[in-house]
Amino acid sequence: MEIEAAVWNEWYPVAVEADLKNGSQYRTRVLGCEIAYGRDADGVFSARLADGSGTSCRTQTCYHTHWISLGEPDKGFFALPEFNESDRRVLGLGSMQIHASGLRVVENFLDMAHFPYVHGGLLGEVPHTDVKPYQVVLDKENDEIFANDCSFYQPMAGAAATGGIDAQYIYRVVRPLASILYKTSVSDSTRRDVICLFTQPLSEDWCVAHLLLACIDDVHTDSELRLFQQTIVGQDLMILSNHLPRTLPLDPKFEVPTRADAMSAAYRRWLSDKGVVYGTYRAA
Amino acid sequence: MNTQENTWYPVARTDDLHMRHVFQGQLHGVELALWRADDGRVNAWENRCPHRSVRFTLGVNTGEKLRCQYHGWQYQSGDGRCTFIPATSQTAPPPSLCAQTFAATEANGYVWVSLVAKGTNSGAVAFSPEFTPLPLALRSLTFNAGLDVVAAELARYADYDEDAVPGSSALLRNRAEIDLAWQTESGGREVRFWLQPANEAKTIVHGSANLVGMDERETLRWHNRLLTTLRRHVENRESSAGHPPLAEAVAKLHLIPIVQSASRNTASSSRTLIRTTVAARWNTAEDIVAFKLALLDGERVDFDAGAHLDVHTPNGLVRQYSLVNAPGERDHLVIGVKLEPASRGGSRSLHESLQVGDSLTVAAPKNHFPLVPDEGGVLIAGGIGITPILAMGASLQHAGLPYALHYFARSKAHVAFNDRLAELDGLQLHTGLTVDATRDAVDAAFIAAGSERHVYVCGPRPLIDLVRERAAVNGIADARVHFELFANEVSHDADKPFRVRLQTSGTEFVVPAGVSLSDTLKAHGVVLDTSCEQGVCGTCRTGVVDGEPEHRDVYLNEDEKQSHRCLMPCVSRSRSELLVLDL
Repeated sequence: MEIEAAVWNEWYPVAVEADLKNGSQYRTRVLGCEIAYGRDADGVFSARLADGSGTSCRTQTCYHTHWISLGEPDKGFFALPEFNESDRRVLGLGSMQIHASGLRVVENFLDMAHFPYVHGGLLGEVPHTDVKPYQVVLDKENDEIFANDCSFYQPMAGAAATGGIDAQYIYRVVRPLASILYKTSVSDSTRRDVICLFTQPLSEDWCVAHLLLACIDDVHTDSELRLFQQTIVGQDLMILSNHLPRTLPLDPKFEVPTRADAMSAAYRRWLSDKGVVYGTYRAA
Repeated sequence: MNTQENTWYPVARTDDLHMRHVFQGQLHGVELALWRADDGRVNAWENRCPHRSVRFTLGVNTGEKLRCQYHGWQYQSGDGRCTFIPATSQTAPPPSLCAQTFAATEANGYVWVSLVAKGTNSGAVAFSPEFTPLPLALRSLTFNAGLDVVAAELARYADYDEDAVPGSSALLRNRAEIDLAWQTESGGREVRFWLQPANEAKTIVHGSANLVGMDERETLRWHNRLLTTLRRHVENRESSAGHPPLAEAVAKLHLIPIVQSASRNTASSSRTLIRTTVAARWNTAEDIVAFKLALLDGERVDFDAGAHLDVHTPNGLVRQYSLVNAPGERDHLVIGVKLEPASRGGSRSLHESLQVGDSLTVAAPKNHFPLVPDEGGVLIAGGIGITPILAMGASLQHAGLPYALHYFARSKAHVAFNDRLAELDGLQLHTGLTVDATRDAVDAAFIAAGSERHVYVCGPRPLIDLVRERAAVNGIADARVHFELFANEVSHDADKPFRVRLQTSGTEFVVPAGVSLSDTLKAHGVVLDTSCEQGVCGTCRTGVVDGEPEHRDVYLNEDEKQSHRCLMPCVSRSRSELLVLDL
C-alpha cells in the first residue's frame, strides 16, 4: 500500500541504546518493511532495508534511542532537555511488542480514566474514579499537543512511593507515535520525572512500545524501576490486545468519548488534520 | 413462512452461560458477547464497548449490568444502554451510548441469536427451533470450514459408523439443521446437528444423539471419535483445495457505527422530550403533592434510583424533580412537588394548575446522583429530599445490599409517601428534631454504619452541610459522601433562554433555560447527529451564520471559537439574544 507522507517521512525508534551489543546485527520491521540494523565494533549505528536492495536508511541516535526513517523527515527532533540534566538517571524500561496499532498504544498512554480499573492499587483506586477537568493546549509553533493540570489520586504512583498521593501529570504528544509524560517525582516533589513512549509501527496492527525514563531517584536499582513500569505495561497489554478493531477509528461515529477523554479527542482530531491514515480504521 | 426464522442460529449451549460469566460467540463474522442477567434475560451484544472498542468478554457480568474492563463503564441488561461512567460519575451518560444489541433467546438447551430480527425491549421474541434435541448432548465441535461444506459431510455421518447397515440412513435437512437416522444390527441410531456459521470459514457443530446401548460416557466418546474423524476429512479437503486461511476470513471486520446503532436500539430515548399524562395526584404530606405521570401506551423509560426529570411546568419554566419509583416500576413516573413559599411559580403552578388528565412535557430522566454499584449505603433525607432517597432505599433493599434510611421531617404530618416507606425495612424516622438532636442522630447513624459505607444525602442546604461535616469527623472519606442539592438550587437557572433561527427555512423558536440547543433542535424535528453530548467528539458541529455563540465544548480550537462561525449545540449556548444556524 502507498503510505502517506505524514507517516512515511517520520523518525521511528527501533532500539534502546543500552539494549544493543556492539558488533551484533538485528532485524525488525518498520511500516511493514524489513529492516536490518546494529552498531559496528566502534559503536556507530546504521540501518538498511533487508529486502535485498540493501538501501541505507537515515538514522539518528538521541534520547538514549536509535531512530530510523524510511522517508525524508523535514522537521528537527522534538526538544527534551531533561535528558541532558546531569543528576537524572536515564534508562530504558523495556520494549514491548503489542498486537494493536501504535496509535491505540499512544492513546492508552494519554488516558487516566482507566487507572482505577486496569492499574488498581497502583496508579488509581476505586472509588476515586472521577477525572478532574484539565486543559488541552495546542502548541501551534511546534505542532504538539499538551494536556496540563492533570491530577489523579494514586495509591502507588511509582516504585519509590510510600503512600497515596494526588499525582500531577502533564501529557505531551510530539509526533503521531511519540508521547511524553511528566509526572511529579516521588523523590523530589519540586521536579518532574519524564516517561517517554516512543512507538515503532511494525505494521498497521502490530507495534513495539519503547519506554524510556529520565528520573530523579538515587535509591532504586534499574531493575526495580523497570519492574514497576513493566507491571503497568503488563496490565495494559490485556486491554491493548483486545481492541476490536486493533486500528484506531478517527470517525467519531464508531467510538464515543466523554469529557474525561478531551486529550484523546484532541489527539484523534490532530491525527485527522495531519492526514494520518496508516494504523487507523477505515470502514469497508 | 416467516423469513426472519431463517436468520436464527444457535451460538452457545445454555450451560455455556454460567452465572455472572460473559461468553464469547461468533455469528457471520460478528463477535458476540453473550451473558445472562440474574433475572434470566439473555443478552447478545456486539463484542465491543462503544467507548474504545475493547471486548466486552473481558468485562464483568454483575447480574444486572455488564461492566467494561477498561474504564469501568456499565451497560444495563436488555437495551444495552450505558448507565454509569466512573470518570464523570456526576454526569449522566448520553442516551446514544448503547451497546449494539441483537435479538436472543433460549430454547431447547441452546442460546439462539439473530443478527437481523428486531428484538423488543421486553425481550419477547417469537422463535422456536423446529427440532427438539435428542436426549444426549454432544460436545460442540469447531470445524475450520464453511457451513455448506460441513453440512454436506455431516449428511454422510452414518458412513463413518462401521456397524451401519448400508443404505439404511434417512436424512432430514433444513437449512442449518440436520437429522440423521440409520440402522445397525443392534438397533436404530439417530443424531441431530445444529450448525452455527461463526464466519465464512468456521462452523460450530452442536449435536445431540440417542443412547445406543452403551452407557452415556461410551456413547459420548463414540460420537466424539466419529465427529473428529469426519472433521479431519473436511479440513484436509479444504486446505488442499486452497481455500483462504482462517485469519483472512476473520480480518474482514464489520463494525456497526454507534450513532446508527443508537437510533436502532432505542427509538424512544432518541426523543429526549416525552409527553406524559397526569394519571393521579394526591396530597402525600402537609405541603407535598405527589403526581403519577403515565407514559404513552406501552412505553417504558429506563433510569436508576437517584434520577430526576426536567419538568416543563404549566407556566413555562423548567424545574427538576426526583423520581420516587421503585425498581421495575418503569411504565409511569412518580414525583413529589413541595410548595415552596418563595416559589417563582414553578412548583406553585404545578400545585394549583396541574390536574388529572392534563398533559405534561418532561425530559427523559437524567441521573446526577447515582448509587455506587454493588455497595450498600447510609441514606439521609431531609424534607422533600426524601424523593430520590426513597428510590435508592427501595433499590438497595431489592438488591439485598445493606442500608439504613434516615428520614428527617418536621412532624408526622410532613412525612411523605408513607405507603412506600412502610415497605422499607431499613427506615428510621426522625420527626421534630432540634439541630443538636439531628446532629446526634447523624453521628449515631455513621457510627452504626462504619467508615467504609457510602453516604447519600438529599435535602436543604443546612442538612447537607451538617452531614458532610459529621462524615468527616467520623472518618468517612469525602469521596464516599454523595449529595444532591435540591431542585431550585441547581445551576440550570443560570442559563438564559435565547432564540434560534434556522437559516434555510427561516423557522424561529426559543431554547429554554435548562434544555440544550441540540435537544431543542431535535424536539423541533431538525435532523442532527449527536454522540457524546458533552462537547468532546465533534459529531454535532453546526455552522453559525449570525449571533455570538457561548462555547462550552473542548473540541473546537481557539481560532474556531473566536471566529463565531460554528459551535457544538450539545453543550454550547448563545451570548446574543438570537443565534442563526446554518441548518
